Amino acid sequence: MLANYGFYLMYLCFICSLYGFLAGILAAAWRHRRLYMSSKMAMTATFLSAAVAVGMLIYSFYQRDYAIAYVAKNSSNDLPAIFTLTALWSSLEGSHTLWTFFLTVVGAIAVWTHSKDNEHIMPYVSASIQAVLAWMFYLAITHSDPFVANLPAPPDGRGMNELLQNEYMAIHPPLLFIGYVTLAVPFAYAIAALCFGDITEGWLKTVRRWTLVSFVFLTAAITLGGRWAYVELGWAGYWAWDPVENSSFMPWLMCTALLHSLLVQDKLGHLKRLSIVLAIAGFFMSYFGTFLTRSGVVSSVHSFAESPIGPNYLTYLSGLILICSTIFAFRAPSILPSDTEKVWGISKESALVVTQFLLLSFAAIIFIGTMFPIVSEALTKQRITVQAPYFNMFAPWVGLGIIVGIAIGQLMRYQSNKLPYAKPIIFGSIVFAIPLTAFLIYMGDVMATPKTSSLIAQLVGLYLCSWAIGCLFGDFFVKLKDMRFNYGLFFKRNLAYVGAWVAHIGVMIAIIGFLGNYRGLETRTTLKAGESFEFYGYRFELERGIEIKKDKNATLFTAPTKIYRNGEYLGELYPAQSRYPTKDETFKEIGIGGNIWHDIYLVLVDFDKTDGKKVTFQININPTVRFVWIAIVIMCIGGIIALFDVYRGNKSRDVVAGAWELTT
Amino acid sequence: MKRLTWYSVLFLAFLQGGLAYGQPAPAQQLTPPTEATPSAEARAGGAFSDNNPEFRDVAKELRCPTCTGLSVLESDASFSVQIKEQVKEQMQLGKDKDEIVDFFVARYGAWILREPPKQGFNLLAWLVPSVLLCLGPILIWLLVWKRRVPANTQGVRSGEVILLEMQERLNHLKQGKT
Repeated sequence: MLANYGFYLMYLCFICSLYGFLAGILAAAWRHRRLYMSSKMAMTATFLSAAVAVGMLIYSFYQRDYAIAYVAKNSSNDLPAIFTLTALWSSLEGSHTLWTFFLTVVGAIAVWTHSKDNEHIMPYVSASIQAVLAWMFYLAITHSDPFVANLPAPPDGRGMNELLQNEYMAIHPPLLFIGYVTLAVPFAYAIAALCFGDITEGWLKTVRRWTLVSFVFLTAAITLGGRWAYVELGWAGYWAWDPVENSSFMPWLMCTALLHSLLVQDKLGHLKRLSIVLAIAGFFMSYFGTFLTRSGVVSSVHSFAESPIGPNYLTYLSGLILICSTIFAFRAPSILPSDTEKVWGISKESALVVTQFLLLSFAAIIFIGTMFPIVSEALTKQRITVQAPYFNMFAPWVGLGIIVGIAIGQLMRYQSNKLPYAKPIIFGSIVFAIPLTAFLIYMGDVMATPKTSSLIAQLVGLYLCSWAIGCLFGDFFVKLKDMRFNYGLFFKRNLAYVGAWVAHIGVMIAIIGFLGNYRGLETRTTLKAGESFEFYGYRFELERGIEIKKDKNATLFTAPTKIYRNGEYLGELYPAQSRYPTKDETFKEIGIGGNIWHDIYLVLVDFDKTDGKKVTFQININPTVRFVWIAIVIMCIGGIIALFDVYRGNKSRDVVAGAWELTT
Repeated sequence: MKRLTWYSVLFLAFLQGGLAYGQPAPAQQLTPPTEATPSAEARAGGAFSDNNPEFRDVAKELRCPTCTGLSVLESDASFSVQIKEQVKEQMQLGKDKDEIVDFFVARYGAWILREPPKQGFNLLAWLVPSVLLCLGPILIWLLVWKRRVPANTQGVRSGEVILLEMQERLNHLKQGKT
């Protein structure tokens, strides 16, 4: 029953958003206010019915209503309550529905909370968002309908994907989807600005806010995905440069680049067209990534046609790119930079262009690396692989540029080639960096790196990061000094600066964390019960062998291992293999211990199946992984701080939109 | 003869892999089927353990055929384990790293390597990013850094420029008066 209602609701959403799109276009063309109101109402109706549809899907998950095929496929009777909810987005149809639902939420918020100055471009915004929505609902009702009936209902479902039964995976997809859908608003505003013919007052304020929200969510979501890989997959890393990860990282890079170009646009009225291009590109990339991962095109060109989603996405993406570039080609010439004098040269705006270059070329390299196997296979018929070693060849150079760019760029000033207090800050930091680097080297045990090239890379990286941190602190001090240490005023008026500063410190800490990958250690050993093993100053003692435990719906084969360092007992780790009742397969549960300088990462590879007294372990020492987690939290906090900035704007540089012509 | 042995090893390996995929082992309480992982004894029996740095060096360069984004070293999938065994066997034959990599390329194609070979069309994958990273800063230097819109009275100016201009104006006024 619910299945039918759900489908009709989705259909209603499709009709509503299609109507809203057409109404929005006509309202814009005729400048007809009431038609726009109708489009806005259509957006709201879409949101409401999508909310009810998603609510029904959640309800049927809780009812374990296996008459719905999607529920039967992704749930089972023994699934714990929390995963019953997260099972909603554990597979294609549900995650598509959730993504679409989030887009309706964001669209509804966008049309109801626009700034008063933006009212006249809102028909375009509404039309753009609903055009996307119409396509997504079309896809939902044709190719990925979550409400397909499954009659007669089976007594038990097939069960949720075991790898996804993890708290990080539970929140990773929704956060990522929110990050993606919030990019739709800058996109819609970019299209609106192009259609309108200029950047209107208040445009930047709205776009900046949505981009920041997207930045925070994407940062958090990508990291949670990495953390999930780290604790669940057992290959001792959090980032493998696989196409799925790359496709979530490219929108992040676009979003970050957009934030920096908006800064130039805000202060100087330049780079307007770049902002527009980036807003469109970021949005495009969020769908492109989905296309890559969902169509199966990544594994091979030939698996492309296997899923009906693939060709559909391809049509949509090519349509999107065609429409956007046509609009851009015709309308962009009317968007001109402000006649601000004395720009470029050696100044902060030029430094921000370097930022754009670094972020965008990084995105380009990732794009090339992700797409190359497909292109190569199509052109040369030879299958090749592009994996981590390729990306790791280029990423350090981009990272190097980012470190130097952040350190120097922060010190620069707009429209001036003078760097105030540059000498004391830069040279002071050169000195300051020496003890900090020495501390990091000593505590992180960097000198033990066996390979010389890795050692040099780490030493250079650590020193430059320490130096950049010194420069950042110097700049903060100088900014405070300029305000005569009036903290109240400083934090009241400068939250955008403070947020950026915090986020940049986060980037530096993250890079210090990434450098730990150069010196990770790994070993494998087989222990009998009662035996112990020494590695990297730690003693691992397997006391009793395998123990069998029940954890919710999983059966765990745990090998409790006691960890000692210099004879001191540190605690016990519980690496395990888990089995779920729904699938004949084992999954790894990793035992993670250690301290902030290195993680002890204990994987139970294999064990004696007869008596469980003999266990093969893989032991990894992963340096400074926790730096990365901390750094990402700091970056998100930076983004949130910047979100609270009271935007003052620069109204003189933007156009005031005209009045409605038809106000009947 | 040697060749024949290798082919039969490969054939058996495939067969084993195929069986492991085709027939899931029956569910028992204490026997999770690890995907055709050889027992610990078999692994310790070889002269090259998993911890051998030379072995790790080679295994790091070969992709796990069944996973995305991982090397065989990082993976315990059945196919990866077989490849690791083959690497060890090759090492016991006294082959060095390049020879072993060539052996795998001859067997599975360039696909088994984790990065595209630097020749032919695939050279493009290496050249484009390198050129991009090298040319970009030069372009920025030429187009942005060297370009400076001169100051005039309409624009927003830094304090020093305003001071200079005031000085100039003052001089001009002084000269005009005398």
